[in-house]
Amino acid sequence: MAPEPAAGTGSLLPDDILFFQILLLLPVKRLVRFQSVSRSWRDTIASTHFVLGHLELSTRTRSSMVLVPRKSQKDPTKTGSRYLSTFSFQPGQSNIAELIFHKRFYPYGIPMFSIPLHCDGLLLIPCLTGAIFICNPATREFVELPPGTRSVVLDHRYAFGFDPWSRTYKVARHFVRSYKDIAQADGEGTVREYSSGHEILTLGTNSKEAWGWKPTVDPPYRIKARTPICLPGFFYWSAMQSMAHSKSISDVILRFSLLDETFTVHPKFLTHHAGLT
Amino acid sequence: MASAGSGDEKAAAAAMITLISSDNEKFEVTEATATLSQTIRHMIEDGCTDGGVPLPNVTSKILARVIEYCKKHATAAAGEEGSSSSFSDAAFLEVDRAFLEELEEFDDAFLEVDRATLFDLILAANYLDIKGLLNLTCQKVADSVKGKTPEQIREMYNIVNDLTPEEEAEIRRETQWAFE
Repeated sequence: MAPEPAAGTGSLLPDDILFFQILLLLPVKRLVRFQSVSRSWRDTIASTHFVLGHLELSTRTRSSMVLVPRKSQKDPTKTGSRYLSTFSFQPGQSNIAELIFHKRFYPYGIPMFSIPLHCDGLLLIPCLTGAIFICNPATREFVELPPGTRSVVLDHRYAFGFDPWSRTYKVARHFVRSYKDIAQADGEGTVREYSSGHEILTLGTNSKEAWGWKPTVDPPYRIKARTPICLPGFFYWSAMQSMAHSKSISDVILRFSLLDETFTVHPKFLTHHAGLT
Repeated sequence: MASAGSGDEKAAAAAMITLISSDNEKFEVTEATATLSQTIRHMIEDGCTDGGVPLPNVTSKILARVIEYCKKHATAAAGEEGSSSSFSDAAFLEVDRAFLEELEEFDDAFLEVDRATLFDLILAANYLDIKGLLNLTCQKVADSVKGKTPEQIREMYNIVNDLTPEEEAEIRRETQWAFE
């Protein structure tokens, strides 16, 4: 290692220390502001390496929750809301939730949306109309994802989480391609059979144009209109296991693995009341 | 403070290490002080500290400050260990708090240096791998840039703005809220 020049006056810091020891300590708003310092500052601050480093440091040093109030949705055809507000709440440190991002939608508002999903500070906002938005309240970024395959029934749901193997964020959705009513052998009514599909979209590639839905294998059973549980690498859908041409159904959990993109079936042993919703 | 005394005794019994600065000045320190540096700890473990440890990246002026920091923090660490066995819980907490306050005051005073020295301390802490000192000095710099504008940052760090006027205008437009 070459010796440094003696007793530095105005010696500058190497980039790895400047960015990864010092700037990493700054809050997001300052970092957004510093993107206009120079090209290397802009590129480093926006890089995956830096962003994940900042995330790791902030989850280790402070815990906070994102709150997204929403209207009740009795009539899904109505416009949901003219604005979206997100609050940050730090349990144990404050009793007051702090507004971090307030977005107005001109001129018609945002369609009614079901329960937003959250992962590492990113919000996925699934609208009942099929539109989907990803929002980063800390950087005030808000983008619409391309629509997925059309679903013939309106009970599609989304999953959203981090894939530790590819180090990317992924969105999954299920949809119903078609259904048909099949007459029972005993002549007592019909049973509706659904053809369900499942597809995923990977965030994090730099060009938004490249974002697209990619079909996966079909889910073995029909997924229910319930928000899934999303853990790193896995999505847990609630589904109905039905026997062919039979009325008997039972609840199961379908685990979708982001590693090999397959489903595995697990019995649902929680009671209905403590159920996964 | 009894606990601090016991820490000193323990340290005095330990082996001494010689550190040699880039300008060839020699510093005798206890092993407890020297091993706050992971770099030196590894050298000791590998048995390559005989005849002194040359530190070609650190000047005597900076090394003296670094040793001052390590001595204080090594004493504090030894003091805490000693106190936990010889005091009741309440007394231990009292001593603990006094230590932390004293240490905080020391750290605050330690950071009262010009920017060039602060940067040199960061480089030395990074090279010697002294986590506490690196965190302390980096936090100080982070606090100092927090309220600055991009223009002020460029000036502070001699950064040439290589963004085209169009690129800069675009970033400014997208990040306007962060300047409010």
